[in-house]
Amino acid sequence: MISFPLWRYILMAVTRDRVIQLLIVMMLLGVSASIFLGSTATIEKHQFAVAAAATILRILSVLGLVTFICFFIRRAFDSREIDYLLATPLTRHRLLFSISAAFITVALILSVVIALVILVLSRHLTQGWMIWSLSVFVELSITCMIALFFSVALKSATVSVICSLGYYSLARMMGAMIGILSTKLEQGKTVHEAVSWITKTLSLVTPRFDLMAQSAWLVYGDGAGVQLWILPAQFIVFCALFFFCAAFDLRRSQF
Amino acid sequence: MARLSSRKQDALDLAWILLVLGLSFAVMHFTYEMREKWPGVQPAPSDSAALFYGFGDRQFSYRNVGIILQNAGDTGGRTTNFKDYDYGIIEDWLKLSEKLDFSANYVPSLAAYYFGSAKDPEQVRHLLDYLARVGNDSKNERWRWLAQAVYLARFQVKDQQKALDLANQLAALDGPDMPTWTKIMPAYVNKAKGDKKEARDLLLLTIADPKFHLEQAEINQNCWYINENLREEGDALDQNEVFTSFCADYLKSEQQTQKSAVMK
Repeated sequence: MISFPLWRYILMAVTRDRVIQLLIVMMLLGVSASIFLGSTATIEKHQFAVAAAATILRILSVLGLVTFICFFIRRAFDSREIDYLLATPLTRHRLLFSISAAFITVALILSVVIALVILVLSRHLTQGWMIWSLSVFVELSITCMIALFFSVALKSATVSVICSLGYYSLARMMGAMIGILSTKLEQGKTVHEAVSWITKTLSLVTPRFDLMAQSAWLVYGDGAGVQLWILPAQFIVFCALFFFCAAFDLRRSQF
Repeated sequence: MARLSSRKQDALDLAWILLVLGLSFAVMHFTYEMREKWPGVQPAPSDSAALFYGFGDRQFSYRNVGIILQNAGDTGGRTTNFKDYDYGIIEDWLKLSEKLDFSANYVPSLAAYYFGSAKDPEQVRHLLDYLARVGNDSKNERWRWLAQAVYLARFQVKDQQKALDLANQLAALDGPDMPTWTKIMPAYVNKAKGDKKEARDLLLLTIADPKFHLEQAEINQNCWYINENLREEGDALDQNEVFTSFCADYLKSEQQTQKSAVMK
């Protein structure tokens, strides 16, 4: 189902735009900043540095991937590359599937780089590290699909980047927001009820990134509290959801 | 408007730049000494809202809460005296950190050694229950926080009853790496309370109990402590079977020391 020439073409574009190289440099800066932050703590400096690096590297990767995907897809539309590709025997679904596969491959490469950097920093090959690395891959893959959907659906690359990052932030904070709602401090007020309803509705189509890539797994090495089925379940459900949404939008586009 | 020559236009642009630069210096001159006033320790958020500190990552939120506590009031060249901190709010932040990560030692160390160095006993009192909770754990030497709570209650807060309660909690903990002094801590606090009999009884029980595997040096140290600090009229220690048998070595060496002192 994947068009390998197209898959290879996108990976070449990643190399041409120096996305991976740039992100590796950014990651080195991020690790340096984490070590500096850790050094300001009175004790447990190493644990602080690992927790900070885990968060910073993930966010840097998300920023890099989202920016690249949104601008790449919009550029492909604007330069008529998509029109050209659709003029070949490729179907719209196959085109989108190949693009998705290529982006997920980039997510995999970045996850491996992040995992290795964290391994060097934490100096312990643990079960927690393995689960964390796997969940970073799942998180980056879903983020790729979110960015793909927004860049296909929206006409502006900048707006796509903002929407993708906004949605990513929402996904990371969804657990906290549900937690705040469940405290029911403001129960009974109309505004609270309305916001509560909106948040609950949003949570139905928002991945729970807060359940993934917890740096406590790196610090304590045991992956405590993780439910492993969440990783493949979220990967399948949300990658498919955003793929089909993007496909639906692409199918309705007039070229 | 008449068009200026190129040289005149350049001169005019340069004049504008110099004027704005001068204004910039003036603004800097008047704002240089201005500092944002520290509003005091801010109320702690709920544990759900605290996740925002770590962008949804519980562990990173914990570390950030720790750094907030560590640097509260001491940023931007500012230092704040402990008496200006609201320890009630600090206690709320400590409780919050417990919910984010119960196993880490970062925030307990700040409570014990940093905030615990305040001079006002009522401020330090806010830390005792937190340290007792995190120290009520025999794993990974976390009982040390409970021992620190006993110390703070005994010497900083000077609440001997509280210190005794905490010392009893410490003694009740069962960990393989806990030294004997954690088991006899209530004796030291009882002595400070003036309850010498309780202290004596506990020390003698500990000396006689084979499960502690005390070395002779430790037995001698306890015998010395009883003899020097816990004697009182009518204590009948000389007839006490444990004291006379386990402390025989110590008593003998003590007699020799006294004899040689008399000879000199």
